Amino acid sequence: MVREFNTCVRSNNLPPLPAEPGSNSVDLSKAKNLKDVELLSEGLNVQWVLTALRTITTNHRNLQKVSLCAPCLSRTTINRADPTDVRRAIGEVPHMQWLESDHLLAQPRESHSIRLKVLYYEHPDGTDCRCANSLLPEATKRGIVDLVNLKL
Amino acid sequence: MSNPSLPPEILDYIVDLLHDDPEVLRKCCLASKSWILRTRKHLFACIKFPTPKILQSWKKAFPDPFNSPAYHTHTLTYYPSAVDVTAVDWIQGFSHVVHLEVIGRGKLTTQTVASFILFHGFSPVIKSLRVNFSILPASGIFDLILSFPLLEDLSIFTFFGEFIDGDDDSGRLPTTVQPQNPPMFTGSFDLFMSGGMGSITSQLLSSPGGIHFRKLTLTWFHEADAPSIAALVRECSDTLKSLKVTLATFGT
Repeated sequence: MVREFNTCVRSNNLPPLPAEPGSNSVDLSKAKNLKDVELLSEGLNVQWVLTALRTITTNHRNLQKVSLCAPCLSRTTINRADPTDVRRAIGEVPHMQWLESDHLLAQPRESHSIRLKVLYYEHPDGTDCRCANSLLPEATKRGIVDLVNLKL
Repeated sequence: MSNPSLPPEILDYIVDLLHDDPEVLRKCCLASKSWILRTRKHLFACIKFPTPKILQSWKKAFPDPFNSPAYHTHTLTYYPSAVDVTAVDWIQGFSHVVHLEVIGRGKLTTQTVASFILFHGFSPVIKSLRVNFSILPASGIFDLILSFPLLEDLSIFTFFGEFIDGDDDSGRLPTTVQPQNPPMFTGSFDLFMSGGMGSITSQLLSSPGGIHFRKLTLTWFHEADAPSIAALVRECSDTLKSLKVTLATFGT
């Protein structure tokens, strides 16, 4: 069974994040020839990324790779290996947006699987990759995530 | 020095192997008259005019534009500040340029916009155009873009400042007529702007042939530009194969 990528995720008893389709957001629903999508947010705002990901459907049969950028937490004194700390550092709403993105991208697809490339900034303590993993638990569990280290 | 028994195809092949070594190519040029043509093809493949002095040297060395090695140039880079807009014959020699780069730094002047008009359609085979300005001049830039009927790839980089018009004098410059064969924009579009994307995208979206890019690389900084990003993606939906959107932050 193939589900459309239009679900919302609930987390920690918070209400589902509202979908915000409209002329101001990136709508990929008609771009069915897409092979490669990179949606990179250097800051914590990933709402536009999530909104764009929601428009990817099973009709995107050529889509092979989606790339995202994990938030850079190098200036905070958090334990990047601790999901709770990461959630506190990036904020509740961005964290939920990440989890929904993860949920959308981790869905099994009938025709083919999409590789997920996650760019992250390396921190000297080496925990940033675990930060990226904690933001994308489902996709990481499915083994479809390729982590790419961006040297600061 | 040339060996009369050496077939020209072999000679061409040898010179082609040296295409990225200008020092050796210059020596080849001096070795034999029969070597000159092939070596010139590589020596003059990429030409850059960053200063008036360099452009003046070119014009002095090659006063006849139709018999100059500009014929071999496929990549031309010019700075509007280097161009004397009153003496423009030299441009006509560059009729085989495929890639054009225009780089502007500092304050916009009438000369900047006037140089655009001089370059309108100067090479009918241009396929890619890169516009790199610290402050992007609204006046004339799109007339320049639309003057190349085979243009496929477009890059626009402006590092800071808003999209503004040039000096007040620019209003007195002659304007161009609507191109008969506007480009179809079927290649890639790379846009990097710190703000004011609306002015670029509105002109691009209203181009007579529409836009049909297969690859979009869009870097934006402000929420206010979200509609522009969305409009570009929407307009290219049918042809788009690769999309990269980066919401950048200052200082990264």
